[in-house]
Amino acid sequence: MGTLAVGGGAYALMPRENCERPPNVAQPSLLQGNTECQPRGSSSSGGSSGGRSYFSGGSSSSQSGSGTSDSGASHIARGGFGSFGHAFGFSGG
Amino acid sequence: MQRIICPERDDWRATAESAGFDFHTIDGERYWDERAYYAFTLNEIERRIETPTGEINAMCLELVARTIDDEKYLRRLKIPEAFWPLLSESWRRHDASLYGRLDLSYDGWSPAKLLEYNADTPTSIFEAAVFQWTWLEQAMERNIIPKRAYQCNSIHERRIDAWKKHAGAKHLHLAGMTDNTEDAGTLAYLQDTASQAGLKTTLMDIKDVGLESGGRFVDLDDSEIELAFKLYPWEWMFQDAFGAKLATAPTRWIEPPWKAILSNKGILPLLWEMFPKHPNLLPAYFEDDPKAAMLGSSFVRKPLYSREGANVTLISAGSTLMEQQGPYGAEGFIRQAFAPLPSISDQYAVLGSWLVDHTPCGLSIREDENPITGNTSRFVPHAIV
Repeated sequence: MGTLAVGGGAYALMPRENCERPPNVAQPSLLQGNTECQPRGSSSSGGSSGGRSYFSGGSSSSQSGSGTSDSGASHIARGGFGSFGHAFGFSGG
Repeated sequence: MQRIICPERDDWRATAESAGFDFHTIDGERYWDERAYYAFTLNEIERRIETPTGEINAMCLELVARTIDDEKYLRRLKIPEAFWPLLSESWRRHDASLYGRLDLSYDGWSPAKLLEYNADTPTSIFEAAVFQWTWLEQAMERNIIPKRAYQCNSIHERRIDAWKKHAGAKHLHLAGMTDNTEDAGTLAYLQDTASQAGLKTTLMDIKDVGLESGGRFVDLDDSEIELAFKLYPWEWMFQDAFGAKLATAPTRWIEPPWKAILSNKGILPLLWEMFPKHPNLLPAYFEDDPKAAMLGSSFVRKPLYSREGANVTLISAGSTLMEQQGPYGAEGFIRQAFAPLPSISDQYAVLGSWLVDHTPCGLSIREDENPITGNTSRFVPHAIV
């Protein structure tokens, strides 16, 4: 098959229920803690949404630690997950 | 389905980085690639992608229902016997599955064929749900694509709704290998969707999960982990030191333990056995099954456990056409009929059809010069035009 170009027959189609992105949903980002996002444009076939902050903030946190220690005082062991995975490097598919 | 060459946005890298999409380039090579896009009609998306996706998902759930108490099937999938009760209890409790991605071979004409089901730890969700959508909006604004284009993409909204529906008011912990850029990005995005659903969340590395003497899993503040999203495969959790405690700890996991069945490539021969000649399935057999000879001398050999194409081999006319190196294969292999991926402009494309809460709701496309889709295969956006 060769590369195909858009012809004059391109036309707009209304979204179906499963595909449709509802309006007024906050714009996400991978940057945690931001309070503002870029205003969202509108999809001509799917309605529009105004800009709004994407990140609700205040209820999320991240933790980091050594991951391999035992806490003698509280009898908590750590490092019992992850050892198998670190031999592979990534977990997603 | 058409592959249409188009200009890329001059500022897409800055846009990606402003959104925290740091892995748009991997090892100096593009991972996000908008020099082309795939165009579909809505009818094609509905009839050729979404409908089969729902049907395959239904078949998979039927397979789980049959497998969960079937010793023969569980042994064929090489799921350790010690974890059978964990799987069956999670299935009987109806522990919720929030997402998954079917990888499909689709040439634009023939029925889409299931290549595999990323049922447990699918990644590329941020670029599918968000950055692809951003491209669509900006590409329309800049006349890169037709003004009235659309996209098969409600992953983000459905994911937020799924959190609301299934997580309730619980505090959600998200755990994975945070030193991996892509995994960390996926976790951060899913944490954001959970926050938008109103959940309190804590993101942590999987190695920081603690086990207290009473048998509960806890975070670094020693608070109980009641509900955990894990971006870490079940088969690895089973092998890790804390694996033996999974059955007795009260933590509920997303994806749930019963998804360990569907993330196993052994489902491909089991589906073919249960639903022979289904138009969206490829003939497949366990390698030690004499019926595997029915595939002839051309087939694809896949480990029961494998991710990102690792240890997958293409055999053509008895010769190895292509082999992806990797660490998998100890549990055995399956053989699947060879379904050549469509090659357009010397690019092989695999369609990823997303499900959230069992509803087909999004499409992603990975492209490569190599017919085996791997970890660095490029993500190319799509549009409904």
